[in-house]
Amino acid sequence: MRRLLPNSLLGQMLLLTGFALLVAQLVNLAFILSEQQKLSLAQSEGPALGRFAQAAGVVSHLPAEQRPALIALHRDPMRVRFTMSAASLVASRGLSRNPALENRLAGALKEAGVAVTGLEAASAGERLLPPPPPSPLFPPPPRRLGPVEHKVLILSARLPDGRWFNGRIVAPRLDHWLLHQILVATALLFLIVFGAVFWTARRLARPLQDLTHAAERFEGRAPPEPVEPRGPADIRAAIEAFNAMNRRTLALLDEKDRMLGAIGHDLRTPLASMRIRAESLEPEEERERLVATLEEMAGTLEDILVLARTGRARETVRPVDLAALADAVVEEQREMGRPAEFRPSPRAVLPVQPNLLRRAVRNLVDNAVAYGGRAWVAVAEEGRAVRIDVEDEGPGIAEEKLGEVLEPFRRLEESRSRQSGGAGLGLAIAEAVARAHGGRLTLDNRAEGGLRASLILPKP
Amino acid sequence: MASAGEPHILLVDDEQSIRDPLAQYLVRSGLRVSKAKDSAEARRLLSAYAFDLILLDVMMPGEDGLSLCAHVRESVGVPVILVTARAEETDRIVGLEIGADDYVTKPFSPRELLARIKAVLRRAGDRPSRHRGPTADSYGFGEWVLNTGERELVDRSGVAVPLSTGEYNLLLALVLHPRRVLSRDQLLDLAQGRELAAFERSVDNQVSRLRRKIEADAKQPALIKTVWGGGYMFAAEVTKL
Repeated sequence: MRRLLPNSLLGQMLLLTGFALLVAQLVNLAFILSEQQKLSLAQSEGPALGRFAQAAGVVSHLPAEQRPALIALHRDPMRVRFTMSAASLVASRGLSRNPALENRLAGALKEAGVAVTGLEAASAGERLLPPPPPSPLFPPPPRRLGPVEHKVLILSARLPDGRWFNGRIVAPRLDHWLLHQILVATALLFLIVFGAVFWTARRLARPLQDLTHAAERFEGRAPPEPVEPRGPADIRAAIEAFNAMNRRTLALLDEKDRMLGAIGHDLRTPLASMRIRAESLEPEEERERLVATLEEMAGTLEDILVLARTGRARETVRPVDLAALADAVVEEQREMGRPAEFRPSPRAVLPVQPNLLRRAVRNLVDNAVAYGGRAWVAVAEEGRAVRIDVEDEGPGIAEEKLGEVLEPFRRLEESRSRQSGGAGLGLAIAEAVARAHGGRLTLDNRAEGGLRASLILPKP
Repeated sequence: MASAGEPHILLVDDEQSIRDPLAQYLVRSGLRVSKAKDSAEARRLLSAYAFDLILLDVMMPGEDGLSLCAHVRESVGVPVILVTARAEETDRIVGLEIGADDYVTKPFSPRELLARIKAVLRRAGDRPSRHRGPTADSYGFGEWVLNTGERELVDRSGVAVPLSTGEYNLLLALVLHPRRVLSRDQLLDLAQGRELAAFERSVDNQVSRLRRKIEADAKQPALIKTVWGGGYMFAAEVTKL
């Protein structure tokens, strides 16, 4: 059910307005119809009953031999026919009596001052040729040719002399025309209101869409294209506030970059100085230890700078064969004598920032080698994405800690030793790189044992 | 070439904490070193003496290293190694485009720097006809373009096919010496000159990996030919783009 309901502003406004309008119209229609029913009852039955009562009054006072002449006088072949008979017409036609109609007939006879000793009344349907148009103001709706079902009143009154005076009166047809008018008016109302709602909603939705697209496109790199303020004043204000926020965000990011550049420069220079001096240190073990520490510091500094800049890297995006990229990263690890293997994978081309991505894959391979002893790397296309899997044969990570290890500076307690090294930024950088490419990094424990880290990068 | 004795290096860096110990280290390693604290001083020294190589810091107050590097390439023609405290790939490419022969990021291992200095000096002595090192050029061969700025192999449809450091160095060595038979030792030497650390795997292994990447049919190589008893030859026509 939820899926059938529209989510958009336009859809919801139309649905809601349509629903409200429908309820209002139904209530309205109910009122009109009940009024109409009373009216049509009065219109159709009232005159027929009155006419019958009047005729019965006249007939009851006439001697029997004059009655046929009068009856003939009142005859109207289309609508009215009176007869005299020994048995009631209702009974002889075998119709079921209608008590409500009989009550109203009694009332009409009483009003006309006609005394009768009995009465019977029924209504029946008969197929008759259509009557003339009921309303000259509106052209009648196209009607079917030939006989139409009509309501016919069969009324019988027993006169004081014991004979029955019968009337067969065609009641005027219910005025369906009014219903048509209401339907047309309703349709017109819907059309006008929907048009207005549609226009308003579009006017609201368009600038909101612009805003959404702009927010999605905002990458913090190039100055963002300001969204053109349009639509109603409140939306305009929101757009202008959004543009101003973008400018502030960009200024903050620029400042961050400048600061990182300064920090990088100011820390690298003394590090470089120490590194050069360390080279003349004796004894050799002492020198090697100091050099290792300095290199670790330099590596951490590098990682921090990379992590802080991911997403703002100036590297151009270009189409790259990711299988060859992963292969090259593995080959470099092998060149350094590390246990890494590439599973031959088909070519998978995607526009990426290759140096950043190389770093991400390298970090995953480093991790796999450090914690899992050995790394297997494979690349596969999967639907609308390319995935780079890095698997190891280590102990994996407890399920509840899988999310934790992606956090910067986080290392699981048991691995907090210098040997496994690093500041714990490797996975955070890999994830930041994946995000900068619109993708993600997932970690899961393989059924066969070991951890699988996957960079999943969507195709554009 | 300046002197017959030890090579003369001009070291330009505004940071005394780097300039002095680095000069000491290089002197101990058998080089002659002159120091300059900024571009102005460097220009004075350049007009007075002949140098074999300039070690140039990029970020300096006043005229920066890139500008001085461009000047040196145009007028003096002495090889330049840029030293920088910035590590972004684009900085490296800009440095190489401006005509630097190599590029080192702070903090660096003094030994590695020394090895690079020697490699650049050897290349400069090797071929006086301005054979430069890893400048930002493009070389076309067969279906491929090798960009030395981005250190990237690009196919005809514009898709980059990343190479490992070792593969890249080997391919560059081959591309820079087309239609010449190169022995394994020569190749190792040419490739190692650029990037130390990473060339321990055998040349044969690297060649077969390269063939799988760039040859239409790796079993019947048309680009990298094996010369029996000799080594390898890059058979394709290389055009500098």
